[in-house]
Amino acid sequence: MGAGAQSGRELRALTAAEDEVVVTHEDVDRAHDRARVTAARGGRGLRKRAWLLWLLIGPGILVMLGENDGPSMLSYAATGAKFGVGFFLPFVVLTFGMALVVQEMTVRLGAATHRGHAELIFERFGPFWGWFSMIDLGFGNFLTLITEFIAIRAGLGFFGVPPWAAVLVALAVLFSALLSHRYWTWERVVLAAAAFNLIFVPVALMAHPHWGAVGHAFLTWKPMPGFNRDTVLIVLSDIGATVTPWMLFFQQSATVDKGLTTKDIGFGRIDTLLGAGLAAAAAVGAILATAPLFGRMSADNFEAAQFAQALVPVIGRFGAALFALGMVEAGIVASITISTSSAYAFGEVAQRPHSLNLPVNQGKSFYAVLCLCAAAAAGIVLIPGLPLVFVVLVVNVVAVLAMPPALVFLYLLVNDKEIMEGVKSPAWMNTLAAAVVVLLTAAGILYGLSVVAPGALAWIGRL
Amino acid sequence: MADEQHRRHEGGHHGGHERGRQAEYFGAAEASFVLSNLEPDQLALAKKVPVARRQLRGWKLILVWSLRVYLVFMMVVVFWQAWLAVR
Repeated sequence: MGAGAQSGRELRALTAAEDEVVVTHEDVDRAHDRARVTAARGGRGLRKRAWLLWLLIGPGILVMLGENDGPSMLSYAATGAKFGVGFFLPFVVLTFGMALVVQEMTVRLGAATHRGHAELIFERFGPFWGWFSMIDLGFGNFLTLITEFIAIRAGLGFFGVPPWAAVLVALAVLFSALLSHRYWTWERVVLAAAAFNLIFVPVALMAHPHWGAVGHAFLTWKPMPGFNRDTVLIVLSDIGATVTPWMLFFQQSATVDKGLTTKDIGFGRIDTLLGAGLAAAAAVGAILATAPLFGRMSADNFEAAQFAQALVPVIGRFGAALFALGMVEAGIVASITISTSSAYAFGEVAQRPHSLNLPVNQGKSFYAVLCLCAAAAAGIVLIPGLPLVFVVLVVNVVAVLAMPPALVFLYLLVNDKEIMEGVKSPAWMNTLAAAVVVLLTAAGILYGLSVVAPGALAWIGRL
Repeated sequence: MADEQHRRHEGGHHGGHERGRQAEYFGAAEASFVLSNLEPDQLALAKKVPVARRQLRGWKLILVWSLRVYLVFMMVVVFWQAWLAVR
Protein backbone atom coordinates (compact mmCIF):
# COMPACT_ATOMS: atom_id res chain seq x y z
CA MET A 1 0.00 0.00 0.00
CA GLY A 2 1.03 3.59 -0.49
CA ALA A 3 2.50 5.70 2.25
CA GLY A 4 -0.76 7.56 2.51
CA ALA A 5 -2.58 4.30 3.09
CA GLN A 6 0.08 3.23 5.57
CA SER A 7 -0.42 6.38 7.57
CA GLY A 8 -4.17 5.79 7.37
CA ARG A 9 -3.71 2.31 8.87
CA GLU A 10 -1.54 3.68 11.63
CA LEU A 11 -4.16 6.34 12.29
CA ARG A 12 -6.94 3.80 12.48
CA ALA A 13 -4.85 1.75 14.91
CA LEU A 14 -4.20 4.86 16.97
CA THR A 15 -7.82 5.89 17.12
CA ALA A 16 -9.11 2.38 17.70
CA ALA A 17 -6.70 1.87 20.58
CA GLU A 18 -8.13 4.79 22.43
CA ASP A 19 -11.66 4.26 21.14
CA GLU A 20 -11.75 7.91 20.24
CA VAL A 21 -11.68 9.93 17.09
CA VAL A 22 -9.88 13.22 16.83
CA VAL A 23 -11.09 15.60 14.17
CA THR A 24 -10.08 19.17 13.58
CA HIS A 25 -11.90 22.20 12.28
CA GLU A 26 -9.99 21.70 9.02
CA ASP A 27 -11.30 18.12 8.76
CA VAL A 28 -14.90 19.18 9.38
CA ASP A 29 -14.81 21.85 6.66
CA ARG A 30 -13.18 19.48 4.20
CA ALA A 31 -15.70 16.76 5.00
CA HIS A 32 -18.54 19.16 4.15
CA ASP A 33 -16.94 19.80 0.75
CA ARG A 34 -16.47 16.08 0.18
CA ALA A 35 -20.04 15.32 1.17
CA ARG A 36 -21.28 17.52 -1.66
CA VAL A 37 -18.93 15.74 -4.07
CA THR A 38 -20.15 12.33 -2.90
CA ALA A 39 -23.77 13.39 -3.33
CA ALA A 40 -23.09 14.77 -6.82
CA ARG A 41 -21.19 11.65 -7.84
CA GLY A 42 -24.29 9.54 -7.24
CA GLY A 43 -26.28 11.42 -9.87
CA ARG A 44 -26.54 10.70 -13.58
CA GLY A 45 -27.05 12.93 -16.57
CA LEU A 46 -25.19 15.84 -18.05
CA ARG A 47 -26.44 18.34 -15.49
CA LYS A 48 -25.21 16.24 -12.58
CA ARG A 49 -21.83 15.69 -14.26
CA ALA A 50 -21.53 19.43 -14.86
CA TRP A 51 -22.34 20.05 -11.18
CA LEU A 52 -19.68 17.52 -10.15
CA LEU A 53 -17.18 19.21 -12.44
CA TRP A 54 -18.09 22.58 -10.91
CA LEU A 55 -17.42 21.18 -7.45
CA LEU A 56 -14.10 19.64 -8.42
CA ILE A 57 -12.54 22.34 -10.58
CA GLY A 58 -10.34 24.92 -8.95
CA PRO A 59 -6.65 24.15 -8.39
CA GLY A 60 -5.92 23.57 -12.10
CA ILE A 61 -7.63 26.71 -13.37
CA LEU A 62 -6.22 28.77 -10.53
CA VAL A 63 -2.66 27.61 -11.08
CA MET A 64 -2.78 28.21 -14.84
CA LEU A 65 -4.50 31.60 -14.69
CA GLY A 66 -2.40 32.47 -11.66
CA GLU A 67 0.71 31.84 -13.73
CA ASN A 68 -0.59 34.29 -16.32
CA ASP A 69 0.77 36.84 -13.89
CA GLY A 70 2.27 40.30 -14.19
CA PRO A 71 5.69 39.32 -15.60
CA SER A 72 4.09 36.65 -17.79
CA MET A 73 1.63 39.05 -19.41
CA LEU A 74 4.46 41.57 -19.83
CA SER A 75 6.50 38.85 -21.47
CA TYR A 76 3.67 38.01 -23.91
CA ALA A 77 3.12 41.71 -24.59
CA ALA A 78 6.84 42.12 -25.28
CA THR A 79 6.72 39.06 -27.54
CA GLY A 80 3.95 40.60 -29.63
CA ALA A 81 5.58 44.02 -29.78
CA LYS A 82 9.01 42.64 -30.62
CA PHE A 83 8.22 39.75 -32.94
CA GLY A 84 4.64 40.33 -34.12
CA VAL A 85 2.51 37.42 -35.34
CA GLY A 86 4.62 34.36 -36.13
CA PHE A 87 6.63 31.62 -34.43
CA PHE A 88 5.79 32.67 -30.88
CA LEU A 89 2.03 32.12 -31.22
CA PRO A 90 2.23 28.31 -31.50
CA PHE A 91 5.30 28.28 -29.27
CA VAL A 92 3.36 29.84 -26.39
CA VAL A 93 0.55 27.31 -26.85
CA LEU A 94 3.20 24.56 -26.75
CA THR A 95 4.51 25.89 -23.44
CA PHE A 96 1.01 25.49 -21.99
CA GLY A 97 1.09 21.90 -23.23
CA MET A 98 4.30 21.49 -21.23
CA ALA A 99 2.62 23.03 -18.19
CA LEU A 100 -0.29 20.62 -18.59
CA VAL A 101 2.03 17.58 -18.59
CA VAL A 102 3.80 18.80 -15.47
CA GLN A 103 0.76 19.94 -13.52
CA GLU A 104 -1.21 16.76 -14.18
CA MET A 105 1.46 14.92 -12.21
CA THR A 106 0.88 17.14 -9.17
CA VAL A 107 -2.86 16.33 -9.26
CA ARG A 108 -2.14 12.60 -9.11
CA LEU A 109 0.53 13.03 -6.45
CA GLY A 110 -1.72 15.17 -4.24
CA ALA A 111 -4.79 12.96 -4.70
CA ALA A 112 -2.87 9.73 -4.03
CA THR A 113 -0.79 10.83 -1.03
CA HIS A 114 -2.86 13.69 0.50
CA ARG A 115 0.46 15.40 1.13
CA GLY A 116 1.87 18.65 -0.17
CA HIS A 117 4.89 18.75 -2.48
CA ALA A 118 7.31 20.27 0.05
CA GLU A 119 6.20 17.79 2.69
CA LEU A 120 6.79 14.82 0.38
CA ILE A 121 10.26 15.96 -0.72
CA PHE A 122 11.28 16.51 2.91
CA GLU A 123 9.94 13.23 4.18
CA ARG A 124 10.83 11.02 1.21
CA PHE A 125 14.26 12.39 0.29
CA GLY A 126 15.27 14.00 3.59
CA PRO A 127 15.86 17.56 4.74
CA PHE A 128 19.05 18.05 2.69
CA TRP A 129 17.18 17.99 -0.63
CA GLY A 130 14.07 19.38 1.00
CA TRP A 131 15.83 22.57 2.01
CA PHE A 132 17.32 23.02 -1.45
CA SER A 133 13.83 22.81 -2.91
CA MET A 134 12.48 25.20 -0.31
CA ILE A 135 15.24 27.74 -0.94
CA ASP A 136 14.52 27.60 -4.71
CA LEU A 137 10.81 28.02 -4.04
CA GLY A 138 11.10 30.76 -1.42
CA PHE A 139 13.59 32.79 -3.45
CA GLY A 140 11.64 32.44 -6.71
CA ASN A 141 8.31 33.13 -5.04
CA PHE A 142 9.50 36.28 -3.34
CA LEU A 143 11.06 37.69 -6.51
CA THR A 144 7.88 36.86 -8.43
CA LEU A 145 5.68 38.45 -5.78
CA ILE A 146 7.65 41.67 -6.13
CA THR A 147 6.99 41.66 -9.87
CA GLU A 148 3.25 41.14 -9.26
CA PHE A 149 3.13 44.36 -7.27
CA ILE A 150 5.20 46.08 -9.96
CA ALA A 151 2.56 45.03 -12.51
CA ILE A 152 -0.29 46.18 -10.24
CA ARG A 153 1.41 49.50 -9.63
CA ALA A 154 2.10 50.03 -13.32
CA GLY A 155 -1.40 48.93 -14.40
CA LEU A 156 -3.21 51.19 -11.94
CA GLY A 157 -0.68 53.91 -12.74
CA PHE A 158 -2.34 54.11 -16.17
CA PHE A 159 -5.44 55.44 -14.38
CA GLY A 160 -3.41 57.90 -12.32
CA VAL A 161 -3.59 55.83 -9.11
CA PRO A 162 -0.52 56.56 -6.93
CA PRO A 163 1.74 53.58 -6.18
CA TRP A 164 0.92 53.40 -2.45
CA ALA A 165 -2.81 53.30 -3.18
CA ALA A 166 -2.33 50.64 -5.88
CA VAL A 167 -0.40 48.44 -3.49
CA LEU A 168 -2.97 48.93 -0.73
CA VAL A 169 -5.82 47.95 -3.09
CA ALA A 170 -3.98 44.74 -3.99
CA LEU A 171 -3.28 43.86 -0.36
CA ALA A 172 -6.91 44.59 0.55
CA VAL A 173 -8.14 42.15 -2.12
CA LEU A 174 -5.63 39.52 -0.98
CA PHE A 175 -6.60 39.82 2.69
CA SER A 176 -10.34 39.92 2.00
CA ALA A 177 -10.11 36.66 0.01
CA LEU A 178 -8.88 35.04 3.25
CA LEU A 179 -11.68 36.34 5.45
CA SER A 180 -13.94 33.32 5.05
CA HIS A 181 -11.29 30.92 6.46
CA ARG A 182 -12.78 28.38 4.11
CA TYR A 183 -10.91 26.79 1.22
CA TRP A 184 -14.05 26.52 -0.91
CA THR A 185 -15.01 30.21 -0.56
CA TRP A 186 -11.43 31.35 -1.07
CA GLU A 187 -11.17 29.22 -4.21
CA ARG A 188 -14.41 30.59 -5.70
CA VAL A 189 -13.47 34.22 -4.94
CA VAL A 190 -10.06 33.81 -6.55
CA LEU A 191 -11.56 31.91 -9.52
CA ALA A 192 -13.94 34.82 -10.11
CA ALA A 193 -11.02 37.24 -10.00
CA ALA A 194 -8.94 35.00 -12.28
CA ALA A 195 -11.69 34.93 -14.91
CA PHE A 196 -10.82 38.56 -15.65
CA ASN A 197 -7.55 37.30 -17.12
CA LEU A 198 -9.59 36.61 -20.25
CA ILE A 199 -9.93 40.38 -20.67
CA PHE A 200 -6.93 40.06 -23.00
CA VAL A 201 -9.11 38.23 -25.53
CA PRO A 202 -11.46 41.18 -26.25
CA VAL A 203 -8.43 43.50 -26.19
CA ALA A 204 -6.87 41.32 -28.91
CA LEU A 205 -10.08 41.52 -30.95
CA MET A 206 -10.01 45.31 -30.68
CA ALA A 207 -6.56 45.23 -32.29
CA HIS A 208 -8.16 43.63 -35.40
CA PRO A 209 -5.54 40.93 -35.93
CA HIS A 210 -4.92 39.65 -39.43
CA TRP A 211 -6.54 36.21 -39.05
CA GLY A 212 -4.87 34.85 -42.16
CA ALA A 213 -1.45 35.60 -40.66
CA VAL A 214 -2.53 34.14 -37.33
CA GLY A 215 -3.68 30.89 -39.00
CA HIS A 216 -0.47 30.76 -41.05
CA ALA A 217 1.62 31.21 -37.91
CA PHE A 218 -0.17 28.37 -36.10
CA LEU A 219 0.16 26.03 -39.08
CA THR A 220 3.73 26.78 -40.13
CA TRP A 221 5.37 28.35 -37.03
CA LYS A 222 6.54 31.11 -39.37
CA PRO A 223 7.89 33.72 -39.70
CA MET A 224 10.74 32.44 -37.56
CA PRO A 225 12.67 34.97 -35.48
CA GLY A 226 16.41 35.44 -35.91
CA PHE A 227 18.54 33.26 -33.65
CA ASN A 228 20.13 35.73 -31.27
CA ARG A 229 20.24 36.65 -27.60
CA ASP A 230 16.98 38.65 -27.77
CA THR A 231 15.17 35.64 -29.16
CA VAL A 232 16.65 33.29 -26.58
CA LEU A 233 15.68 35.69 -23.81
CA ILE A 234 12.08 35.88 -25.04
CA VAL A 235 11.95 32.10 -25.47
CA LEU A 236 13.12 31.69 -21.88
CA SER A 237 10.81 34.40 -20.68
CA ASP A 238 7.77 32.83 -22.38
CA ILE A 239 8.64 29.41 -20.99
CA GLY A 240 9.11 30.93 -17.54
CA ALA A 241 5.71 32.53 -18.03
CA THR A 242 4.01 29.11 -18.12
CA VAL A 243 6.04 26.61 -16.12
CA THR A 244 7.47 27.59 -12.74
CA PRO A 245 8.26 25.79 -9.48
CA TRP A 246 5.55 27.55 -7.42
CA MET A 247 2.92 25.97 -9.66
CA LEU A 248 3.99 22.46 -8.62
CA PHE A 249 3.85 23.29 -4.93
CA PHE A 250 0.60 25.26 -5.20
CA GLN A 251 -1.46 22.79 -7.21
CA GLN A 252 -0.44 19.79 -5.15
CA SER A 253 -1.15 21.58 -1.86
CA ALA A 254 -4.44 22.97 -3.17
CA THR A 255 -5.45 19.49 -4.37
CA VAL A 256 -4.81 18.20 -0.85
CA ASP A 257 -6.55 21.14 0.82
CA LYS A 258 -9.57 20.71 -1.46
CA GLY A 259 -9.64 17.06 -0.44
CA LEU A 260 -9.41 15.46 -3.88
CA THR A 261 -8.93 11.69 -3.90
CA THR A 262 -7.83 9.22 -6.57
CA LYS A 263 -11.46 8.99 -7.72
CA ASP A 264 -11.28 12.68 -8.68
CA ILE A 265 -8.11 12.48 -10.79
CA GLY A 266 -10.09 12.52 -14.06
CA PHE A 267 -11.82 15.73 -13.07
CA GLY A 268 -8.51 17.11 -11.82
CA ARG A 269 -7.13 16.53 -15.32
CA ILE A 270 -10.10 18.32 -16.89
CA ASP A 271 -9.61 21.17 -14.43
CA THR A 272 -5.94 21.48 -15.42
CA LEU A 273 -6.76 21.19 -19.13
CA LEU A 274 -9.43 23.88 -18.82
CA GLY A 275 -6.98 26.10 -16.99
CA ALA A 276 -4.30 25.57 -19.64
CA GLY A 277 -6.78 26.34 -22.43
CA LEU A 278 -8.06 29.53 -20.81
CA ALA A 279 -4.58 30.70 -19.90
CA ALA A 280 -3.30 30.00 -23.43
CA ALA A 281 -6.21 32.01 -24.87
CA ALA A 282 -5.31 34.97 -22.63
CA ALA A 283 -1.61 34.67 -23.50
CA VAL A 284 -2.28 34.54 -27.25
CA GLY A 285 -4.66 37.47 -26.73
CA ALA A 286 -1.88 39.53 -25.13
CA ILE A 287 0.49 38.75 -28.03
CA LEU A 288 -2.12 39.65 -30.63
CA ALA A 289 -3.05 42.83 -28.75
CA THR A 290 0.51 44.15 -28.87
CA ALA A 291 1.41 42.74 -32.29
CA PRO A 292 0.36 46.02 -33.99
CA LEU A 293 3.20 47.67 -32.03
CA PHE A 294 5.69 45.44 -33.92
CA GLY A 295 8.38 47.75 -35.29
CA ARG A 296 6.84 50.80 -33.58
CA MET A 297 8.19 50.59 -30.04
CA SER A 298 11.18 49.27 -28.19
CA ALA A 299 10.19 46.54 -25.79
CA ASP A 300 13.52 46.36 -24.05
CA ASN A 301 12.53 48.02 -20.80
CA PHE A 302 8.87 47.33 -20.97
CA GLU A 303 6.35 48.16 -18.30
CA ALA A 304 2.62 47.63 -18.27
CA ALA A 305 1.76 51.31 -18.39
CA GLN A 306 4.06 51.86 -21.38
CA PHE A 307 2.29 49.12 -23.30
CA ALA A 308 -1.11 50.49 -22.40
CA GLN A 309 -0.09 54.00 -23.45
CA ALA A 310 1.42 52.73 -26.69
CA LEU A 311 -1.80 50.83 -27.45
CA VAL A 312 -4.03 53.92 -27.20
CA PRO A 313 -3.59 54.89 -30.89
CA VAL A 314 -4.19 51.26 -31.95
CA ILE A 315 -7.15 50.16 -29.85
CA GLY A 316 -8.32 53.41 -28.29
CA ARG A 317 -8.36 54.61 -24.73
CA PHE A 318 -11.00 52.04 -23.66
CA GLY A 319 -9.04 49.10 -25.07
CA ALA A 320 -5.82 50.36 -23.49
CA ALA A 321 -7.64 50.74 -20.17
CA LEU A 322 -8.79 47.11 -20.42
CA PHE A 323 -5.20 46.06 -21.12
CA ALA A 324 -3.99 47.94 -18.03
CA LEU A 325 -6.80 46.39 -15.95
CA GLY A 326 -5.75 42.97 -17.23
CA MET A 327 -2.25 43.62 -15.89
CA VAL A 328 -3.70 44.60 -12.52
CA GLU A 329 -5.84 41.46 -12.38
CA ALA A 330 -2.88 39.29 -13.39
CA GLY A 331 -0.80 40.77 -10.58
CA ILE A 332 -3.51 40.49 -7.93
CA VAL A 333 -4.49 36.87 -8.67
CA ALA A 334 -0.87 35.76 -8.83
CA SER A 335 0.02 37.58 -5.61
CA ILE A 336 -2.77 35.58 -3.93
CA THR A 337 -1.79 32.19 -5.36
CA ILE A 338 1.97 32.64 -4.98
CA SER A 339 1.81 33.84 -1.38
CA THR A 340 -0.54 30.92 -0.65
CA SER A 341 1.96 28.52 -2.21
CA SER A 342 4.69 29.89 0.09
CA ALA A 343 2.44 29.54 3.14
CA TYR A 344 1.49 25.96 2.26
CA ALA A 345 5.14 24.99 1.77
CA PHE A 346 6.21 26.64 5.02
CA GLY A 347 3.46 24.87 6.96
CA GLU A 348 4.32 21.52 5.41
CA VAL A 349 8.00 21.80 6.19
CA ALA A 350 7.61 23.32 9.65
CA GLN A 351 4.82 20.82 10.46
CA ARG A 352 2.49 23.65 11.37
CA PRO A 353 -1.22 23.59 10.50
CA HIS A 354 -1.56 24.66 6.87
CA SER A 355 -4.97 24.94 5.30
CA LEU A 356 -7.27 27.63 4.07
CA ASN A 357 -9.96 25.87 6.13
CA LEU A 358 -8.24 26.89 9.36
CA PRO A 359 -9.62 29.65 11.55
CA VAL A 360 -6.99 32.34 12.15
CA ASN A 361 -6.36 31.29 15.76
CA GLN A 362 -5.49 27.74 14.63
CA GLY A 363 -3.49 28.69 11.57
CA LYS A 364 -1.58 31.71 12.83
CA SER A 365 1.73 30.74 11.23
CA PHE A 366 0.05 29.82 7.92
CA TYR A 367 -1.79 33.12 7.60
CA ALA A 368 1.19 35.06 8.98
CA VAL A 369 3.54 33.69 6.28
CA LEU A 370 0.93 34.32 3.58
CA CYS A 371 0.28 37.91 4.62
CA LEU A 372 3.87 38.81 5.50
CA CYS A 373 5.25 37.57 2.16
CA ALA A 374 2.71 39.68 0.29
CA ALA A 375 3.17 42.72 2.53
CA ALA A 376 6.98 42.55 2.28
CA ALA A 377 6.91 42.31 -1.52
CA ALA A 378 4.42 45.18 -1.68
CA GLY A 379 6.61 47.27 0.62
CA ILE A 380 9.71 46.68 -1.50
CA VAL A 381 7.92 47.98 -4.59
CA LEU A 382 7.31 51.28 -2.78
CA ILE A 383 10.96 51.87 -1.86
CA PRO A 384 12.11 54.71 -4.10
CA GLY A 385 15.14 54.19 -6.31
CA LEU A 386 15.23 50.38 -6.17
CA PRO A 387 16.19 48.73 -9.49
CA LEU A 388 12.82 47.04 -10.02
CA VAL A 389 13.59 46.46 -13.69
CA PHE A 390 16.36 44.14 -12.46
CA VAL A 391 13.75 41.91 -10.79
CA VAL A 392 11.42 41.94 -13.81
CA LEU A 393 14.32 40.98 -16.06
CA VAL A 394 15.41 37.98 -14.06
CA VAL A 395 12.21 36.55 -12.62
CA ASN A 396 11.02 34.44 -15.56
CA VAL A 397 14.55 33.33 -16.39
CA VAL A 398 15.11 32.24 -12.79
CA ALA A 399 11.84 30.28 -12.99
CA VAL A 400 13.02 28.35 -16.06
CA LEU A 401 16.39 27.58 -14.49
CA ALA A 402 14.84 26.34 -11.25
CA MET A 403 12.34 24.10 -13.02
CA PRO A 404 14.54 21.10 -14.02
CA PRO A 405 15.68 20.31 -10.43
CA ALA A 406 12.07 20.70 -9.23
CA LEU A 407 10.77 18.53 -12.06
CA VAL A 408 13.21 15.73 -11.31
CA PHE A 409 11.85 15.44 -7.76
CA LEU A 410 8.31 15.51 -9.12
CA TYR A 411 9.26 12.78 -11.61
CA LEU A 412 10.81 10.63 -8.88
CA LEU A 413 7.81 11.06 -6.59
CA VAL A 414 5.18 10.41 -9.21
CA ASN A 415 6.96 7.20 -10.22
CA ASP A 416 7.39 6.04 -6.64
CA LYS A 417 5.42 2.80 -6.42
CA GLU A 418 5.35 2.91 -2.63
CA ILE A 419 3.34 6.12 -2.50
CA MET A 420 1.62 6.10 -5.91
CA GLU A 421 0.12 2.63 -6.07
CA GLY A 422 -2.23 2.41 -9.02
CA VAL A 423 -1.75 5.96 -10.27
CA LYS A 424 1.96 6.12 -11.02
CA SER A 425 2.96 7.63 -14.35
CA PRO A 426 2.66 5.50 -17.48
CA ALA A 427 5.68 5.28 -19.79
CA TRP A 428 4.36 7.79 -22.33
CA MET A 429 3.79 10.34 -19.58
CA ASN A 430 7.33 9.81 -18.30
CA THR A 431 8.67 10.34 -21.81
CA LEU A 432 6.81 13.64 -22.07
CA ALA A 433 8.01 14.71 -18.62
CA ALA A 434 11.60 13.81 -19.52
CA ALA A 435 11.25 15.80 -22.75
CA VAL A 436 10.10 18.82 -20.75
CA VAL A 437 13.14 18.54 -18.44
CA VAL A 438 15.50 18.25 -21.42
CA LEU A 439 13.85 21.20 -23.20
CA LEU A 440 13.98 23.44 -20.14
CA THR A 441 17.59 22.53 -19.41
CA ALA A 442 18.56 23.12 -23.04
CA ALA A 443 16.82 26.51 -23.02
CA GLY A 444 18.73 27.45 -19.86
CA ILE A 445 22.05 26.33 -21.38
CA LEU A 446 21.33 28.33 -24.55
CA TYR A 447 20.73 31.38 -22.41
CA GLY A 448 23.97 30.76 -20.53
CA LEU A 449 25.80 30.43 -23.84
CA SER A 450 24.26 33.67 -25.10
CA VAL A 451 25.75 35.46 -22.10
CA VAL A 452 29.08 33.70 -21.69
CA ALA A 453 29.86 33.09 -25.37
CA PRO A 454 27.61 35.13 -27.68
CA GLY A 455 29.72 33.96 -30.65
CA ALA A 456 28.70 30.37 -29.98
CA LEU A 457 25.04 31.31 -30.26
CA ALA A 458 25.62 32.95 -33.65
CA TRP A 459 27.48 29.82 -34.76
CA ILE A 460 24.56 27.59 -33.70
CA GLY A 461 22.17 29.93 -35.53
CA ARG A 462 24.11 29.43 -38.78
CA LEU A 463 23.78 25.63 -38.55
CA MET B 1 -24.48 13.61 27.68
CA ALA B 2 -23.33 11.05 25.18
CA ASP B 3 -21.79 13.76 23.02
CA GLU B 4 -19.78 15.04 25.93
CA GLN B 5 -18.07 11.66 26.22
CA HIS B 6 -16.81 12.01 22.67
CA ARG B 7 -15.78 15.61 22.84
CA ARG B 8 -12.05 15.88 22.90
CA HIS B 9 -9.50 18.57 22.99
CA GLU B 10 -8.46 18.99 19.38
CA GLY B 11 -5.03 17.53 18.85
CA GLY B 12 -5.36 15.56 22.04
CA HIS B 13 -3.67 12.56 20.40
CA HIS B 14 -0.86 14.60 19.01
CA GLY B 15 1.35 14.29 22.02
CA GLY B 16 4.10 16.80 21.42
CA HIS B 17 2.57 18.03 18.17
CA GLU B 18 -0.04 20.38 19.58
CA ARG B 19 1.78 23.45 18.34
CA GLY B 20 -0.53 26.02 16.87
CA ARG B 21 -3.72 24.21 17.74
CA GLN B 22 -6.20 25.49 20.27
CA ALA B 23 -9.03 23.83 22.10
CA GLU B 24 -12.02 23.10 19.94
CA TYR B 25 -14.69 20.54 20.56
CA PHE B 26 -16.65 18.44 18.12
CA GLY B 27 -19.54 16.12 18.85
CA ALA B 28 -19.78 12.46 17.94
CA ALA B 29 -22.10 13.30 15.07
CA GLU B 30 -19.51 15.57 13.50
CA ALA B 31 -16.72 13.06 14.05
CA SER B 32 -18.84 10.41 12.39
CA PHE B 33 -19.67 12.78 9.53
CA VAL B 34 -15.98 13.50 8.99
CA LEU B 35 -14.99 9.84 9.02
CA SER B 36 -17.69 8.92 6.56
CA ASN B 37 -16.63 11.62 4.10
CA LEU B 38 -12.84 11.67 4.33
CA GLU B 39 -10.33 8.94 3.68
CA PRO B 40 -8.40 8.10 6.87
CA ASP B 41 -5.17 9.61 5.58
CA GLN B 42 -6.96 12.86 4.72
CA LEU B 43 -7.39 13.73 8.39
CA ALA B 44 -5.08 16.43 9.70
CA LEU B 45 -3.87 14.01 12.37
CA ALA B 46 -2.75 11.50 9.72
CA LYS B 47 -0.21 13.99 8.41
CA LYS B 48 1.71 13.68 11.65
CA VAL B 49 2.72 10.19 10.56
CA PRO B 50 5.78 10.67 8.35
CA VAL B 51 6.20 9.03 4.95
CA ALA B 52 9.04 6.50 4.95
CA ARG B 53 12.44 7.86 3.88
CA ARG B 54 13.98 6.78 0.59
CA GLN B 55 17.68 7.09 -0.26
CA LEU B 56 18.69 8.54 -3.59
CA ARG B 57 21.32 6.36 -5.26
CA GLY B 58 23.01 5.80 -8.61
CA TRP B 59 21.88 7.80 -11.62
CA LYS B 60 19.18 9.55 -9.62
CA LEU B 61 21.71 10.97 -7.18
CA ILE B 62 24.01 12.00 -10.04
CA LEU B 63 21.08 13.67 -11.82
CA VAL B 64 19.91 15.72 -8.85
CA TRP B 65 23.48 16.81 -8.06
CA SER B 66 24.14 17.73 -11.72
CA LEU B 67 20.99 19.84 -11.85
CA ARG B 68 21.91 21.51 -8.56
CA VAL B 69 25.33 22.50 -9.94
CA TYR B 70 23.66 23.64 -13.18
CA LEU B 71 21.23 25.82 -11.25
CA VAL B 72 23.89 27.49 -9.11
CA PHE B 73 26.11 28.17 -12.13
CA MET B 74 23.23 29.55 -14.20
CA MET B 75 22.03 31.77 -11.36
CA VAL B 76 25.44 33.42 -11.25
CA VAL B 77 25.25 33.96 -15.01
CA VAL B 78 21.73 35.43 -14.80
CA PHE B 79 22.50 37.82 -11.99
CA TRP B 80 25.72 38.93 -13.60
CA GLN B 81 23.88 39.61 -16.87
CA ALA B 82 20.98 41.37 -15.17
CA TRP B 83 23.39 43.49 -13.15
CA LEU B 84 25.14 44.58 -16.36
CA ALA B 85 21.76 45.33 -17.98
CA VAL B 86 20.63 47.50 -15.07
CA ARG B 87 23.93 49.39 -14.93
